[in-house]
Amino acid sequence: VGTDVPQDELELLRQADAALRATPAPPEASETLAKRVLTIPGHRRRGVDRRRALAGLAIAAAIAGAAFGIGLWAGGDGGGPTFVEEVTLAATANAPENAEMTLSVLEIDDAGNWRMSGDVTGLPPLADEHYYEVWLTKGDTLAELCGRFLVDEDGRADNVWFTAPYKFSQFDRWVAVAVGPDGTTSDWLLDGPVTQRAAA
Amino acid sequence: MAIALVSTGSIAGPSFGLEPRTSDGDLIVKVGRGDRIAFEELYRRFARPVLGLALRMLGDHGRAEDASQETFAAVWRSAKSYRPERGSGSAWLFAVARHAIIDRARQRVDQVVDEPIDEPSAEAGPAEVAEQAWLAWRVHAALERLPERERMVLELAYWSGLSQSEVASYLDVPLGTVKTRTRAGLARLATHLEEARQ
Repeated sequence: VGTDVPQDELELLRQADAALRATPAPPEASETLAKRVLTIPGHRRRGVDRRRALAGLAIAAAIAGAAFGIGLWAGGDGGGPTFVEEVTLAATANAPENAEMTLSVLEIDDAGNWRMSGDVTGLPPLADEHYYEVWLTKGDTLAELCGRFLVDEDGRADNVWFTAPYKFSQFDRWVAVAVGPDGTTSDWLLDGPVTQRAAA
Repeated sequence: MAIALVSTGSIAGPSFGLEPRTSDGDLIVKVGRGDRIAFEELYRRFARPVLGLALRMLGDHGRAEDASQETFAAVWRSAKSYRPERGSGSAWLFAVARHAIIDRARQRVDQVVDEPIDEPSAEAGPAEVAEQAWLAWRVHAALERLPERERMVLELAYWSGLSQSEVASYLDVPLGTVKTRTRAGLARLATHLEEARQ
């Protein structure tokens, strides 16, 4: 980690290093387990919640699985998921001026899904059961949902993972909106063009 | 700036990536109020720690998954009883998971146990075994809180046997970036470990 680490930080790093060395790798939870667990809370508030949750968990598992599968890849051609393009979703007039999302689009996977990682700054934290969503739009319409996120007290969210099993060429913009527990949405808060390379 | 909401009807979509920074304790409180989104987020954060603990104690993946399901069922049922002032959410979850897993082990007529089956070391006594399980729990839970780029670097380095140069090659980033992420990830991990202990 370099030679310029202050002594107090070095001690912190040593503690974490020792903890990691003393701990076996965490297992991967199967999608079956996710299905079993996510049916526990009785009826769903909306029919789509469970499907969305499972898909999100599957994505998280896939991402985590990639980390473990890397050992197999690393001995090959050195390849791995590569970023196709980076897009900035800028603040509209409905959001704080400094609000922004940087959306990094990875190459499409074998199943035809685009994976994206978003870093957000400047959005206000929301009330309980409210959250932000990223959508692909057609004209003035929210067309397809790509993911949901929350921000911390500083208005930040780092490395939020999204997925989109769509052909980007069919859409016009990426936008972020806020959503309430009853499904109401805000005006567009962040707005950016669909990536040109990914849409090609 | 306040965000104004307007009604646009129901929301449908195929997937999401929820990444809140709500504390574990706050999530459990929300679960106690019947918040399913909070429950799903709690599962996302603790699925691997719970399954890891169950595997250590039961030694069988199928039974470990059963115990994990029972753990989260217990969380859903008993989250109302969580009191933040009595300890961290992670510690409360650890206790719930441990009880659920021990109950699972006791259900086996041919394997009645008072303490978990956990043999990380042939010389380890019960106290040491419990401490190792608690440490593994905290490490696994802390990892889930790291930004993905930092978590990936640490998992590759510590559990995939890759050198930092190999990690850099795989991720297609400069070696310096790997070192920066490693340093940041370790520091963040240490902080989370300390928080979970309290």
